[in-house]
Amino acid sequence: MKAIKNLRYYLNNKTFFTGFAIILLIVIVGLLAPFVANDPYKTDMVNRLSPPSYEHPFGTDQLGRDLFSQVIYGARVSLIVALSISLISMILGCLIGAISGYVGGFVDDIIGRIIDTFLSIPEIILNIAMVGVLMVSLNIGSSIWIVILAVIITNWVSYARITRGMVLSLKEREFVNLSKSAGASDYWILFKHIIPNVVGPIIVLATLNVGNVIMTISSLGFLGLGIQPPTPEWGAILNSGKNYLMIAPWIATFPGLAIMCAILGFNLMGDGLRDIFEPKSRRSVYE
Amino acid sequence: MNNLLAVNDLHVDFLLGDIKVKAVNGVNLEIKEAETLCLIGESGSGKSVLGLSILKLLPSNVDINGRILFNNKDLLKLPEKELRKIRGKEIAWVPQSPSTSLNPVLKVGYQVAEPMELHLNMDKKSAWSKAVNLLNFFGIHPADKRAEEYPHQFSGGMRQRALVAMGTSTKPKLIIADEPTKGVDLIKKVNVVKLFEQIKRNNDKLSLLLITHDIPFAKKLADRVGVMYCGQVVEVSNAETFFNEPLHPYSKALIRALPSRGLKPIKGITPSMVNPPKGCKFHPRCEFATEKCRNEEPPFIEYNGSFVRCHLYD
Repeated sequence: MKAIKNLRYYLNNKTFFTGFAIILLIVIVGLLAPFVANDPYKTDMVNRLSPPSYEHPFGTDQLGRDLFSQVIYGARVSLIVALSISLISMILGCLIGAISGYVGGFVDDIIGRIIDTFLSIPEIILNIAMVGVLMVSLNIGSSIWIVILAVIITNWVSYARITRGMVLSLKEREFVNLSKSAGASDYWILFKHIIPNVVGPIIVLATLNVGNVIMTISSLGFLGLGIQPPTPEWGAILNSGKNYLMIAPWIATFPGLAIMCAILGFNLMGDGLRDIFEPKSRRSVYE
Repeated sequence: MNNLLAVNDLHVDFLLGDIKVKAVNGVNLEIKEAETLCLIGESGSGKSVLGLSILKLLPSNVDINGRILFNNKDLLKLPEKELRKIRGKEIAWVPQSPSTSLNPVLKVGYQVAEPMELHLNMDKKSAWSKAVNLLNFFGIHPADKRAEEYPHQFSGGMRQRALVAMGTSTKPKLIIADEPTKGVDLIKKVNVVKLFEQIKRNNDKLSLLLITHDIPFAKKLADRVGVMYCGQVVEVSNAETFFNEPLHPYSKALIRALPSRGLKPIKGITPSMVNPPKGCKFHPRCEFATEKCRNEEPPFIEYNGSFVRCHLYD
């Protein structure tokens, strides 16, 4: 009941509502994919590169596969991959950052330098390198797992950096001292007092980050390093469409639009959450 | 009466690079069971540092020497784990600024319940209902609804009452309150006095250490008064003695500086804590200073039932 009440409170925020509606739509379409779309792998060489029509709303690609079905099944792949990457790197980054900031000293020096090293390399280049390194070292071809692992390795850093910074300032606050004076242990203070202060901003960051991750996966797919065809992934479809841009522009357009919608949805949701998570915006009814 | 807390020759030094700031410099202090001791003194005289060092809550760049005996246990020698059992359970701390001392993202009721959850083995639910009772006792109405709110929805006075509720929740033997009247206007100060009287009434075995620079406030509550100057306790007297015939020249000057007693400021300024003056710390500002005061540090001696650190009473 409480969750529903909270959700209604969130939905009063127009930005959040718009983002939430877009994401909800994508999720529903993804869940109902078997009912709304046809088999995305079925080739039909007779109708290859046919423009959008009633039968094929988004047209067909160079092998005659229905693009509409591919884009819809692509939502499943993109959302699951992006959400799991964001969730895992959020938990990982938060824990590492919080420990680094709270413990301080030698531990903080080492973790801080590692974070700096990661941040000094452009993200997409690091991603490409990571995919390459993982493929060679694990001696397998590019798979969905390699993409997830590679993006997590580059993605946890931003969470760790922000959490570390916040914990550094939070641990000097007076309520930490008060809790200590009440007999709390370091573990208690970190998890009951400091982490709850970090959660709001981190969730905002994570929501905005999902959009980024979708972009990263699509970029990797576009470069041919990501999830491989025939798995319908938006970036990979875009990649295959670029060769036919002049004769069949719809191949690249529709997955591109899907990527745009997903990123827009998550960013709007993140922006809305940022407004909502300001506890100062709540007022007492007894005032 | 038994001594609940005895501080023996306590030294607290802040290490700032090569500089040593002597914040507390040989303090001897005793608090008896069920008494209220007010510690007064100027800003920077080491009152708060003394209070914090009792609970060992000072930052890590601090050097503490001496003995702090609480129930015959030396708090400074206790390992952190044992100390945690005393903090909040036996000795409670009511911090200086109610506005920043509560966690902004946690419900007030939860924070009031925290010491009970930590020390009394209470589960969340019973600690919460106890916290609601306490908030109600300290005049926060409607307590059950207010406990669900966040600190920013509370006024300053309510936050302070919530902090006091938190401090008293485990029925500690000693409460250390750091400047409870800071930033409270004259009319509201009456409420703070009432608040502490209420605590005492609720638990007549409780000892209070009130750290304040508000002398009229101290007069209302104190059984005994300790005066701090430059990191030293220069006088400890019964409240009556102190407000009628203080012994130490600094105490005399403080009483005379009160608006009701002529508003005569003490001349000079507090000396630096990095290089305190030789001999008696107060001699550059003292009207009775002699050659002896300039060279020899006076001992802390008993005089007519009071304790004083001055050559006048040798």
